[in-house]
Amino acid sequence: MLHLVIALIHEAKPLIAHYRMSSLRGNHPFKIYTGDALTLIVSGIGKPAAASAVGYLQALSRENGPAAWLNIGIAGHQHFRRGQGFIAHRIQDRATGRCYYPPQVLPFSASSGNLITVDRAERHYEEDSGYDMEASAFYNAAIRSSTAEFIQSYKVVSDHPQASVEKITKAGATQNIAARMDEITPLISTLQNGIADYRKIHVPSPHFDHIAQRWHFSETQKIQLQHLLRRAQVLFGAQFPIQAAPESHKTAKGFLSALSETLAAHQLSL
Amino acid sequence: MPAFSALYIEDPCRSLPRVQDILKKCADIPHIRCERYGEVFNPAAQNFRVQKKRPGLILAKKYQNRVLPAPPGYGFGNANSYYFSHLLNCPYDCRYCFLQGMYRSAHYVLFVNYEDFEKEIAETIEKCGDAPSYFYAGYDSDSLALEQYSGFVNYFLNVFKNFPQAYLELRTKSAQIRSLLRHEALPNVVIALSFSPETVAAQWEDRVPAFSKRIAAAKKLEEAGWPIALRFEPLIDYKGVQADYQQLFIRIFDALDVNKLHSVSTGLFRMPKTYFQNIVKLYPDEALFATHDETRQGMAAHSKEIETAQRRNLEKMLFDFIPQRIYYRCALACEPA
Ligand code: SF4
Repeated sequence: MLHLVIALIHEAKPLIAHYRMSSLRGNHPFKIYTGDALTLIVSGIGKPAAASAVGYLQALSRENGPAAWLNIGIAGHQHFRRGQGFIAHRIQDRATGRCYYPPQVLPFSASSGNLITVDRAERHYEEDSGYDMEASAFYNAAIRSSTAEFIQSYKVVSDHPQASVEKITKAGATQNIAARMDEITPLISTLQNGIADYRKIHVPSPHFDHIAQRWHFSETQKIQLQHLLRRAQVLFGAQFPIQAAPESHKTAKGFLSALSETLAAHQLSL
Repeated sequence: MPAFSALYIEDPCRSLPRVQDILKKCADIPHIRCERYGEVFNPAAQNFRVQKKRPGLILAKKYQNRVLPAPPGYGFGNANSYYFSHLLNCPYDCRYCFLQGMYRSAHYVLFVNYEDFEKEIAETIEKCGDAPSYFYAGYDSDSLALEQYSGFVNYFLNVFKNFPQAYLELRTKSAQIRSLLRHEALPNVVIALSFSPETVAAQWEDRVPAFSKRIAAAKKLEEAGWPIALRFEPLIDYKGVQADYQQLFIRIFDALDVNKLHSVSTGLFRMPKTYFQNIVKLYPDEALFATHDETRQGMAAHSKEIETAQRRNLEKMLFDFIPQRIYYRCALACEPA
C-alpha cells in the first residue's frame, strides 16, 4: 500500500489519470482518490495542511498495517532547470531548523537533492536546494506510522531565480508533473515493492484467529499467542508438532505453555 | 566493494584530507551534508533490515569517549583492557550479530579524526606505565572492513609501532589483508580471525568471504609473521554442530601452525535482551531466534545445560589441536567480527 500526498489537484491530475484512480465516496475533509494498492490525498498548500492530510489518511487506514508514503509536487530550485525532478535526500524545515534525512536505500533511479520547506513561497533561492511548502511536515507526520525508508518526497522544479514563482499556472503545474511520469512511475513501483516485501515479513500466523476463538485468551495472552505462533510458523511451517497440537489441550494456558516448551526444546537442523 | 547509497558528511569534517579522499572515491553518489551524525543515524522509525540492503556512509568526528574500558571478560588481556571504534556497523551481514539490535540504522559511521583517537590512546598507554595494555578495535564493526576507504589499518599500525608495550587486536572476517601485508609484522598487533562451521556461515553469515579465501589469507599473515588469533563464536546449537566443528578444526589446524598462534577463544551465543528483542522484531522470520526464549541476567542465551555441554565438547575437541595455555573463554559473544 502506498499513500500519495499532493498539495494541489492540478499536480495530482496526471497521477489520477495514469493509475485510473477513482474518488473515494463519503464525507471527507480532503479529496481522496483510490487505485490498485494506492491512495492519493489532495492536502492543500502548506505544512499544517500536509500534516493534517497525512494524519487523516493514517486514521482512515489504521487497520491496514504499514504503508509507504510519497509526497509529490512542484518546487523552486536555486539552479536545477525547470522540469527537472529530484527526490529529497535532506529536508530542512526552515522555520524550526530541523532536518530530516529520508534514507535512499531503495533502488530509486531518480536523482536526489536538498529541499527546504518554507512557510511562504521562496523568492531568493539562496541555498543549493529546492524549496517547497509541505515536505518537512509531511515527513514528520508520516514517520509516525511507517519506517523512514518508505517515506519520500519527489519534486519537479517549476521556478528558479530566472523564472519566478508568480509565473506558475495551474496548467503548468499539471504539465510539470505529467512530463516527469517517466521518473514518478518507477519510483512508485519501487516503494510499492519495498513495502510489500516488508509487510510479508510481518504477516501474522494464519492460525491466530482460529486458535484465539477456541478458548478465552486475556489481552496479554493474545500477544503471547501471536509471538508463539509466529515462531512456530518459522520452525514448523503450517503443521503443529503433536505435543503442541491445539486438540491436545483444554485451556488457553495449557496450550500456550505446551507450545512455548516445544519451541524452546526444538533443536535447529541446518 | 560496498556500494553506498549516499555519503553523509558532517560539516566540521568536510575539509579534512581523509574526507576529501573519500569524497573523490565516491564521486558518483549523493553527498549530503549534516551537522551531527546522530541526525542521520539515531532517529527512531528507521529499519536496520531494510537499510542493510544499501547503507550509506556517514563521515563524522568523534568528540568524546574515544577510548573506553573493555567490558569485563572481553578479550585476552586482563587488566588495562580498552576498546575504541573508528567505525560503527559492518559490511557483512551475520544474522547473530548484535549490531543489528544495538543501532537503529545500518548506515556506516566512520569517525575520521584518527589523530584524536591516537592522542587518547597514547594518553591511556602512558597512564598504564610499564604495565601492558590491550586495545580492541573490532567491537562495533569488523576491523578491516571498509579499509579501502578508511585507511584505518595503515594509520593505526604506525601508532602501535611506537608502543611495544601496548597490544592491539584487529578482529575480522575479511580476506582483504593487503594493508597488513604492506607493513612489517608487529608482535604487539594481533589479527583475530573469527571462524564458524561452513553450515553456520552458509546459513547466517551473508556477504562474508568464503572459508577458503579467509584461511588462505590467514596463512599469508602467519607466513608474514603476524600474530594470529582464532575466535570461535558464537557457539550456536543445532543438530550436527559437533561434527561440523570437528571438521572446521581439522581444516584450520591443518592449514595453520599451532605453535605460531597467539591465542584461541570461544564465545557463547549471548546478547543483551533488549538487542535481542529488537532483532526479533526485524527478523520475525528467522529460525535462529524462533527457538529462543530464555533470558538470564538480562541476556538472551541458550539454556545453561546446552551452553555448558556445547562448550565442554568443543573445548575437548580443541585441546586435541592446541595447548590449553593459549586458550581462553570470552565472556561476551555474538559480538562483531
Ligand atoms: S558479526 Fe562481525 S563480521 Fe558479522 S556482521 Fe557483525 S561485525 Fe560484521
